[in-house]
Amino acid sequence: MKTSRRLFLTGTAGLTLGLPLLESLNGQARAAEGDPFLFFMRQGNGVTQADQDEAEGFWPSEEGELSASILESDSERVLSELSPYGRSITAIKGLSYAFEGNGCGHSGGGNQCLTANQVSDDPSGAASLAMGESVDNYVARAFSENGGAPLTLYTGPRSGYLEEVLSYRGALDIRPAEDDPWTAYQRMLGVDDGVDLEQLDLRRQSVNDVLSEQLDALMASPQLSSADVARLALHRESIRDFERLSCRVTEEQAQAMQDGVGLSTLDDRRLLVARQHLDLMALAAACGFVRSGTLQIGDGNDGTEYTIDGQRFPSFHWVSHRIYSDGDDGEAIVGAYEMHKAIDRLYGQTFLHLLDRLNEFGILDQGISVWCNDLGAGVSHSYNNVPFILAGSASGALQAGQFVDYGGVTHNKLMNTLINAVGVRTESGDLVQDFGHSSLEGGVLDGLLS
Amino acid sequence: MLLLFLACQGCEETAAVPELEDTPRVVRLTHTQWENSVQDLLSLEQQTGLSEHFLGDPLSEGFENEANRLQVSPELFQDYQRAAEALALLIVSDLDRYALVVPQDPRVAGVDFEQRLEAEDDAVSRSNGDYQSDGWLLWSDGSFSADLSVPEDGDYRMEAALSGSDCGDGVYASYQFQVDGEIIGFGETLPTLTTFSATSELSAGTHELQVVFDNDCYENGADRNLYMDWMQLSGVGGALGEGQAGPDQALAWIEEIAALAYRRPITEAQAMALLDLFEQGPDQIGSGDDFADGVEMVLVALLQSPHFLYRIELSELPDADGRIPLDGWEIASKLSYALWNTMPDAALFAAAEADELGTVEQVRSQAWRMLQDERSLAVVQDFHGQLMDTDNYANIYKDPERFPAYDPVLNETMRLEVEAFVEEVVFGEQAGVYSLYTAPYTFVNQDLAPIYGLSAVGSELQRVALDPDERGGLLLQSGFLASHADSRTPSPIHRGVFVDLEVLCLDLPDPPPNVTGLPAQEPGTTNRERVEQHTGEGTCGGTCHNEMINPAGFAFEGYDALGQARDLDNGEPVDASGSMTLSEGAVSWTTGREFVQLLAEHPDTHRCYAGHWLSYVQGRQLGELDDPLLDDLGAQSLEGLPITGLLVELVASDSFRMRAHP
Repeated sequence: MKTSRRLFLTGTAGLTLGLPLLESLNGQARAAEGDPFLFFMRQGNGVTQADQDEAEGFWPSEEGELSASILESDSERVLSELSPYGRSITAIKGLSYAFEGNGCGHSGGGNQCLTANQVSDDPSGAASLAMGESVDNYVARAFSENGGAPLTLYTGPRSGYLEEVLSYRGALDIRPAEDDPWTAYQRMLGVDDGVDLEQLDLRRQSVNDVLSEQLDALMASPQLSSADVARLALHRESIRDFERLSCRVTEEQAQAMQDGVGLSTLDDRRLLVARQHLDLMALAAACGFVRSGTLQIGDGNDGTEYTIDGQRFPSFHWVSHRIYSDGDDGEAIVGAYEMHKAIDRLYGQTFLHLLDRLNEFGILDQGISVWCNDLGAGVSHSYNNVPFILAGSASGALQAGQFVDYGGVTHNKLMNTLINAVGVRTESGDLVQDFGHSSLEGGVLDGLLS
Repeated sequence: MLLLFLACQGCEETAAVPELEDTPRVVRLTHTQWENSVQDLLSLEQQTGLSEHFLGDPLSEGFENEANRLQVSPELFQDYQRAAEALALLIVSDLDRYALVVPQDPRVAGVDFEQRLEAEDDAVSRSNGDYQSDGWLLWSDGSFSADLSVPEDGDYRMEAALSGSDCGDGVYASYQFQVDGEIIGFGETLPTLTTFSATSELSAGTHELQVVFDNDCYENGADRNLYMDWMQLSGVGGALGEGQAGPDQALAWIEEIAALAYRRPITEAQAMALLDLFEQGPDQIGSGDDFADGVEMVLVALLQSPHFLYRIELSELPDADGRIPLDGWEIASKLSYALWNTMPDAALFAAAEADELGTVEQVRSQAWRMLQDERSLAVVQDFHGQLMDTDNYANIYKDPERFPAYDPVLNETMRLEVEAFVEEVVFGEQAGVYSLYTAPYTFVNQDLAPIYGLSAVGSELQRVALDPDERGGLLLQSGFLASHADSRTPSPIHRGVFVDLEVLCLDLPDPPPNVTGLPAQEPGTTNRERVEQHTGEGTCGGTCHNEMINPAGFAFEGYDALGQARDLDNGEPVDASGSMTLSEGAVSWTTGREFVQLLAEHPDTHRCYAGHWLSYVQGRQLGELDDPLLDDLGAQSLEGLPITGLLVELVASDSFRMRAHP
């Protein structure tokens, strides 16, 4: 007779395997231990900065020091949305993506964003991929948390145009992202509450031993191609013990995520789901579960129809081009610039949500959170002045609270800066200066590291 | 065409057979295939739905089943692990399921009790009515009741075979199941004899069981009555109860279930490794039921095994022509996943075992059998859904100002329209590619019909005839036209690129980076004029657009952004005429209907379609060594080969049944 164990996995449709898990809550995350983290929240389609004939609407009016009052008094600019954390904000202008896209500006921008690497010739166009590892993966590998893997999250349509573009294990090797917060959370928990963990781990070990032997034997088959072996090798590496998230979301958060299962791809839930993902990111950092992570909002050229003040805007990508079209064919959208600016503000508020969560856990300044973009500005869709908005100082490693314009350097230097700021060094203990493609001038950005 | 020449030793002839394109040897199941395979392996009554929460696979350039993109990352490994554990537990927690998966370990139900009473038996008291056709009819409110004695405390199931009539109002006789006066179940009967059941926990001893009829009615000659054939009480399974199986049965079970999971007989070493795991069950799980613990351990491992999660082809012996024929087990699996998206059935396994999948005729005959089974419908619909990108129909949006009749509910209806149409063409009409692009009918409901200038009743899709001068085939259906348009204006560029790439398989270069948008449409100009000014002759987009993309796109200008036929655009007459140079020379047309007609009659279209299927069933991009096969299939399709026949010829081809020898 077996009734003691509870099932923890359910399908939203199909066979019911057990009751959904209702969280028994044991409160907040454990106290922060000082480990720095590096998070990225990606917006698409550029921002409303000065571009062609359009006015500046994004950056602060003055370079130099930032504070709550300085940002607040600059209320016409989008970054004023971040004023509550003014002292922790670092706004970095004047960075460019070094490489051409390949047939599609968005895949080129998104693929370079965290890799500082070239975009593939094959595949090309909308299917193109990055030719190198992304910084979130690089940082995660330097630490042991989550098996050395980053948290990779997404909110956007499935079978959209260019789904994930951000996180790479290496050249052409993209990390698929999880789009459903509840599933991401369940995967972090790993098991149902109340399971005998010691017994479960032993059992899993026995099974994993058999699976590993099977994969080893298969990989040794001389007939296999290198691509066959590479896929099996990734599978083989994926067989490991998984850390379990030691803390829990609140009952309301759990319920909200559960209620949203199956709805995570809908436009009108895009930023709601983004906030749930960001809640998980903050929780994961607070519990020491991961060291790095990404959230991509919207597919490659985010076509979300955002609703602001009851008005449903056209596709964000169309708004960014200011025409009713994905870029090659369409009529002008009246008021598109103001729409884009309102969307930028929404993203600012969404980033603020992450900062609020981190602040509640007391770890905002313990790591660095970055609001990044695949393009600089909407209309020109250019790779210049790509906005990187940082929050947090990694416990003082970064000189936060400033707005700097670097006037046109490649953004790999920021990646180097961030890698060093969160405590990663070369094997010989020196600063990491060479992240990204080897043709790029290395080094870190001046005046950012303490 | 590349040929492989092999010196034939000891004879004078030289054999020349086409070389084959290399195909992955290790192909992970798609999430759909995982669902279907789990359902079949464990004899589940329906899909588990668990794969909805699996990590999605990254976007692939071709079809979703392209092997190179189907990886197992740590996240997906965890998903497989949790699903395997949940499913193994499901099997060992339920007697009925266990009996299907582990017939080597027969168990007796928790309570061994079963008693059936016929309605007309003396043991049953009936408050009114009449004996009728081997049962009893209650003609007014009342009940059947009987006292039954059960041997021990436990869960029992009460069942009764009932039917009812209605009172001219469509409401049939309702029933209640009562035990000792307490209602344990109720419902409405059907006009046909149906078994209804309810369960209850009973203590040892005698209980009064009743089937109660309480909504009698007689009106205008219509009479609502309740008919019962029999009632029954039995012990309920659930927990497994005691078993007698030992080590011999364990090994026998392992050999059988693992052969199903791996889709081929297992080696002795594989069996021993699983038996070792089986024997760890009592220690690792310790439920007190040693055999079931072993079963659970082994199921958890089988469901995560690479031999289950991947379709694996390790054959390596070349034949006289220097190609490697797949063995029977490999062919059985490849056929099954290609045509059914699931593991082989018993007939395919039997054919593999008997080595009856080695010839072209044997494979053809299996394929024809498989295409009679409805599992092939889901595959054919999935293929066309991916080809037409019908998932993307969910993102269709039309400006309410320009299209007041547009309702987002149409998006899903348009997707279903494609499914229904494809089913009719491929299976209903047993037609070919020509019909796919020209058939003058489609499927509409009340919402969709107005787009075609028709009217229909109800929400169910129904087949309707279309004006054959105006419509025909997939490309003149609402979904294709509306999804390749923005919210206000048709997009000739997107429509044209689709035809070039997916219908004709032309080789288009990628667009230049960061193309800028078109100017707004000026009053008194057509959409065509606007696009031509921007991309036509003399502009930087001249070559590609002018010769390849724009003509194919302009052909659909007679259909607006919602897919409705139109004569005027912006007040000006629509011009859908054009010409293009295809593989066999120039073609020209004056309307969209003419354009799809010439596409349907063009060899490029048939070859392209066959190529999509080849890519789909092989899980890889095409290579030039596929050319001879595609030339052949394309030619047969052009001659009128039905799509089902095309599929049969495809899986019977050397390319499908054999591998390249490195």
